Amino acid sequence: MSNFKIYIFLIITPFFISSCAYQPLRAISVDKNVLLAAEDGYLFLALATDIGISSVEIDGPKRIEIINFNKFEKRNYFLGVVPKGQYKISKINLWGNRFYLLDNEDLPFSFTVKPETINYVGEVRLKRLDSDASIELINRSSLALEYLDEKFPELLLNRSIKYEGPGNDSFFNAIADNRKKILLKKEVVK
Amino acid sequence: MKIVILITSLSVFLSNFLLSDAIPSSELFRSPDNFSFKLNPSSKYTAHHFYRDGETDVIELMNIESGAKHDILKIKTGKKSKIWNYYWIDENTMYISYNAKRVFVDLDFEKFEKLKTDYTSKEIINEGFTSTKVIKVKGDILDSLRYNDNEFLFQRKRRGKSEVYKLTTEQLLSNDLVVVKRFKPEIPNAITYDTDNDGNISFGYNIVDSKILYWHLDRVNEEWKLIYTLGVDDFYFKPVGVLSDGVLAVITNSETDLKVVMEYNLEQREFGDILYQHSKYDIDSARISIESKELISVSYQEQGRLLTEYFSENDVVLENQLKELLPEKQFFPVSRNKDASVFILFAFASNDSGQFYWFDAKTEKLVFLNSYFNNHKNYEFTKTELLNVKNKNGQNIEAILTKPISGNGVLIVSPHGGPIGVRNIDGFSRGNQYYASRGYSILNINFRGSDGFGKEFVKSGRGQFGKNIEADISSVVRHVKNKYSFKNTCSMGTSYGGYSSLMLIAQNPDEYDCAIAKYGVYDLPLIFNRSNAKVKDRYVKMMTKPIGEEKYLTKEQSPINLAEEMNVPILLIAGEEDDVAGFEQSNRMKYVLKQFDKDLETMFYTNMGHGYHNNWKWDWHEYALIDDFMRRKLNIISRNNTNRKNFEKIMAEEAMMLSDGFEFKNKVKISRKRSIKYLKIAAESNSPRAMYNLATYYFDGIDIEKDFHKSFSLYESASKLGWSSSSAFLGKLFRDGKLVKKDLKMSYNYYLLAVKQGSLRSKYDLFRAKCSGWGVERDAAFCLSVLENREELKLSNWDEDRVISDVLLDGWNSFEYKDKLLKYLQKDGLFNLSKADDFKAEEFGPIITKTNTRKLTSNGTWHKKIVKIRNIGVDIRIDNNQFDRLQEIGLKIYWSITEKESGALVDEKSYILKPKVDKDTRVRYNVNDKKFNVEGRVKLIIKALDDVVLYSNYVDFNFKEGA
Repeated sequence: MSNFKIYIFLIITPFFISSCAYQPLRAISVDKNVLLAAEDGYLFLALATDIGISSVEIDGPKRIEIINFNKFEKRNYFLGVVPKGQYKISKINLWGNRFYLLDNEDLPFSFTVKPETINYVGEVRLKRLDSDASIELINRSSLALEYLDEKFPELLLNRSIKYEGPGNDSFFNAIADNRKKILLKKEVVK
Repeated sequence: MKIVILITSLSVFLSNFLLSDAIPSSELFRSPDNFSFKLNPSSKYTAHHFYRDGETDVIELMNIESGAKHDILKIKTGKKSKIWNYYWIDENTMYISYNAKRVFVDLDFEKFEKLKTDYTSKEIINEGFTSTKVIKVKGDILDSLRYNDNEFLFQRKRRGKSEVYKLTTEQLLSNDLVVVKRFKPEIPNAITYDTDNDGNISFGYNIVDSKILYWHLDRVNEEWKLIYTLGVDDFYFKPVGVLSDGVLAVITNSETDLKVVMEYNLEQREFGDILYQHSKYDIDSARISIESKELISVSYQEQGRLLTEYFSENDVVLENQLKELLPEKQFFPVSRNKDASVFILFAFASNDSGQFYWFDAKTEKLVFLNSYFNNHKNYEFTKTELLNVKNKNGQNIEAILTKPISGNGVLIVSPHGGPIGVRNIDGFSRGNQYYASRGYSILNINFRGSDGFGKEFVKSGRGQFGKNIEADISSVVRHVKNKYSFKNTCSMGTSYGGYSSLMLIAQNPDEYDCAIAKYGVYDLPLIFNRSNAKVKDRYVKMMTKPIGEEKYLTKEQSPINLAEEMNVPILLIAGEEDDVAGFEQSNRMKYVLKQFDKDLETMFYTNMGHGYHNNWKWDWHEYALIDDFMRRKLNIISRNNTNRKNFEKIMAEEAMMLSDGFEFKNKVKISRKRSIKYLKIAAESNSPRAMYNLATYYFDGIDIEKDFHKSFSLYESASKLGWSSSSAFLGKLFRDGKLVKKDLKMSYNYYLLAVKQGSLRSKYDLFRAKCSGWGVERDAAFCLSVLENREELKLSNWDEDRVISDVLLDGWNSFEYKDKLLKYLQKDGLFNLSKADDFKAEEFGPIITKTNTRKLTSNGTWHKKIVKIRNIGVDIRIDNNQFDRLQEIGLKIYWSITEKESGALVDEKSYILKPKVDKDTRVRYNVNDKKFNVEGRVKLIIKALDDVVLYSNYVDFNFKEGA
């Protein structure tokens, strides 16, 4: 865990706006497979915080901005379609032109989106400290899977889910193997 | 022979009979009553810090010889209101830090001795024999140097840096530290300082580049000298005193397997001779003499029991004296005078939570001072049995068995956390005593990897998660089961113990009948991949040491991969904010166990970390939950030899606690079903509160099938057991005639009972009954006198309105004091009485109906939920010149709801409405969507007070849920 300093946004130039425009991630709300291009993948992440956040900026093949947080929820999930490739969570904007830059090289916030799969990259946890904040990208695969089980069961049936966050994790594979094992058992019983 | 058998049987019977009963968790998991005793330098007086009546934090002064004691300081305890610490600065001066204050207190012993009775001043500082001076400089005492007259070390932080001063009380009170000599240089970023055998600051430690640096203070030059650097992978090193110039005594395992006391040469930075080595155990602490600078004593844990070995003949004699005076106790000094002839001792055992004693070595006098917990004298605790078992490698494994004489046949195998470098000791364990008092036997095992048995033993546990550690545990379990017979065995543990609990049931499916895994890890590779901060090399290296390299971990080492093999009931407990084990670990285990449809129960506490509750109540909750789980899953009813009535009472209280946990918004997610489940258990154990709450659920039919008969019977039982709310509710039922035949006499009697049982509210219902003559002869004079003295009787406006409404709606014509009541109403300008002639038909609008959604506290619960509210209303506007504008007038309102098809009455209510003249008023009838499940007809009749109907109308309305 590392502490991050807060910055206040003072000058905004038109050039800056035009050159660095981030496109809002269109969150999927319907439980169906909406992947159109073979080069696209699902980006799936969560945000857990006690601070009022206006957006999260992600750099990569496409610059994405995550908006529309439900401040009453302890944990917000985002599932959207993005082009495959290497991404990095670069900035967290708070209300009132304040933001955190995730530029600590020692603490990577980068991940890969692979095509045609659901790429769970973790949960960005932001905790307010006295004068700064601690920000961490945490692997909470089982919580994420419970969310998908509840909200997107159809999608989960049609697309495989992979952990693409920090480190390696075979939990999703183990769950898939268990499912197969249980199905097989049921068939044998029949 | 017969006599022998008889005596034996009688003694077994008596021992069982004399056994303490189940101990309530609230008696075990609580703060101690007596915290500490500290002798003044001459040891004539001692200061005693304790809680008085659980709400006052007190430091009192005691003269041990005379027994005189008076308060020095007392404060009412609160979140930030408490005594933090206190020290003797010299013979008659104390430093006390409390709330946000720090003071010096001068004690006048002459005055103290003259005080006849306990001083009970309401002031914070007792002025009788004390004088207080407030310290204004921020900071705290680092060391009181109590053997140096009026000198102490004071530490403060300035500009983020720590500064240490050697001061007198006058110098600190002068607020000008610049003029006094600063004790420097301080160690940069020191973690802590430590004292030597003289009680003076001599050692200090800081961390640089992940290495611990040990410093020693050169007193001649007053400068710190680096004496040892300890890396993460190195050995244990702890200075304990000065043996001679340039030679220290240290506890280390640098050159040996076990931690020993060794010489350490400061100049050469080399170890010298071994001063003491135990044959089996690591040394925990050692003392060096102030005068002779020789090793006086060493302490270690022998079979988990604290043992101090002395070397001088005098000390050995002293030790033996104490052993005789305190048989079977472990003890250590908490305060001593300079020549170590007078001590305050703390003595404890596995079945003794601790006692303070004053001991004079010269006179061999031992005086009991106080218990650590005052309430524990009421209970008999279970003694432990110490076991030694050889593991498959021939290593000796020590274990502690807490086995009550009269058990319930259940063995709890409880591996400790860590697992490396942690150990179980044979001290007083609240948790073990909680279970033992309920009949469970608890087995704690110092398996390989545990601390206290040497480096090799610790090393042999590394990388043995799910392997040899569990093999050691199983060896001990087999040994215990060969020695004693148990009907059931459960595994239970916290952190690593949680992991081990599940590994044990997977590896030994025939040995175990249940598992309770708390705040554990269940997927070992996840430890190395849990976040972007935890994949870094430093963390990975730190975790690799106990667990082993991630690449060598096998699937069989993680419970998550063995879920299919787990065929006994499992209770998983976790904290959603656990950053030590990580909450994902528990949730992952839950997910997989659910996948395989295993017998699983979970308790995931919100706002909770790695198993440490911030309020004792949640400890009670957790223990009650576990006991209930084992009781249900293993079909344990109770022990044979317990006091059944008391046992039932405790069971009922704990079940109510669990029910409340699921009912109110707190650390447990609300679950009405689980709340009701525990209400049923508590009600079966004769808890009147449970009966009342359960009756309310049956009555309202919320989350349980509506059952009026069950409800009524439970209300009756609770009333018989003295629950006043139940009696009052029955009074209401019989008064209103809802679901029971109206019986005003019965209603009156229930209200009377409720008042006797302590219900203040029912006093008002009795008053209503007397005013209206419900079940009792109407007492109009009494009724008026109460109304006229309503402030004295604390009658609210609402109560007053209700009584007047009763009288006006029911029995007005026969009210003997009609004129007086009229006068009363008009005198106070409460409202005008209305007559039919005063109204016009157009003043009443049509019936309006609408449905709103609102978040409110619903029936029978305390938490808010979204409910649909059906609103039926009629707008009225009285614009009559007979009355003054905006004055209130009285109207009789009668609502009734009948079932549309059958015409059966579903609900009715009547009251006096007091609309204001020339102002819009809505006559409302609101009902939430759960109350009636019928298609109904709602009828409204409005009458003037002379009973002439002013308005009558109805509307059909579908009250069915979802309509």
